[in-house]
Amino acid sequence: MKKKLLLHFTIVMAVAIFCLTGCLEVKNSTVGNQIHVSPSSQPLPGCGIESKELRVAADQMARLIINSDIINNTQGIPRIVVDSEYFSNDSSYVIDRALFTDYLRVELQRASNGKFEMLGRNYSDMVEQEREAQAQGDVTAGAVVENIPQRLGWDYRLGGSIRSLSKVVSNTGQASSYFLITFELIERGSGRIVLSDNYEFKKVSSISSIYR
Amino acid sequence: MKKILLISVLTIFSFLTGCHREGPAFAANTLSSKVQTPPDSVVVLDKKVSDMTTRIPFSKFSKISVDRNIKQYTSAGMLKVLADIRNRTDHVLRLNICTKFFDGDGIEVDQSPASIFVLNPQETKTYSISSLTDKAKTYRVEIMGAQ
Repeated sequence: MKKKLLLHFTIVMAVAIFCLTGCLEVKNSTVGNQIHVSPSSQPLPGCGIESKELRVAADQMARLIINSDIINNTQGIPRIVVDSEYFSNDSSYVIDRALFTDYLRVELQRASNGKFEMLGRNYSDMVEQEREAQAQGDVTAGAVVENIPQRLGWDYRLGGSIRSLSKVVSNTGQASSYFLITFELIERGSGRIVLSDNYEFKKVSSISSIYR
Repeated sequence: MKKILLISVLTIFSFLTGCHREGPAFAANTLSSKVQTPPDSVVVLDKKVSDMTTRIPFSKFSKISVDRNIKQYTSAGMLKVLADIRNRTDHVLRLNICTKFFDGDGIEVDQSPASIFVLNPQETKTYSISSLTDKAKTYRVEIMGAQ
């Protein structure tokens, strides 16, 4: 009797489990183990600059500029140029300098709130091409920007550098790198450094990585 | 026996009924007093940082201590946070710290990227950050463990 009971119970549970597996969600199949991760994470080991450090450094400078006296306690609306023209990579790693300056420029533009103006000197070719076309009569004036405005001069421009110190221990294969990212705002005409900030960090890794 | 069989069949059908669903479902609303954190707070999201069982049985304490949590405003009228974070352990702690700023309605208006904070044994360091917008009225500093 008990055996029969147990047998029936087992059959019922097996059927229940079989039915319930039909309710399980179908997971999307991953192709090549591809996953999205946060730009603030560092899922792979290495001693170089990662997106995490890039974002923190640029964000730190953006917050310093937004809260500085040159923006808030000044007459008129200052004009700032932020591009990679005078931002050098003097480190031993291959780094796209524009990653920093583009991130910083967009952060500043979003937070400007009318306190300052950003000039896109990195788009000078585009602006000049359109000015010439309009001057020659090839294109009409814009619907909003009707007349050819005079090109604006800047008040402050970004300068800076990325520098590094690297070391490799040959018998263990461990490597360490120290990075110093310097951002400075230079005043037009006088050349004064009106704002300056550093972001430094050091990494140690036992796995060598290739940075591109 | 028949009763057991009947109960089992009814149980199976009740499970299957729960699995049958059409169309979108509302997301669960988990807002409750247990989940909401007070404004202007420093919170630890990582259990590894907030808990550390010592060798003393049933004794737990946090690896870090937030000794001071100060709210200020910069000359530009932006919200500024200062927090003294102390390492209570005898080894180096690596933390990921990010700050979220909220307006008067509790809507997030600014978020800083997570930055690495390295604390030597028993060291205290001040974490400082200012908001990018003057709409920020409250904040939440979030601390997680880092590699």
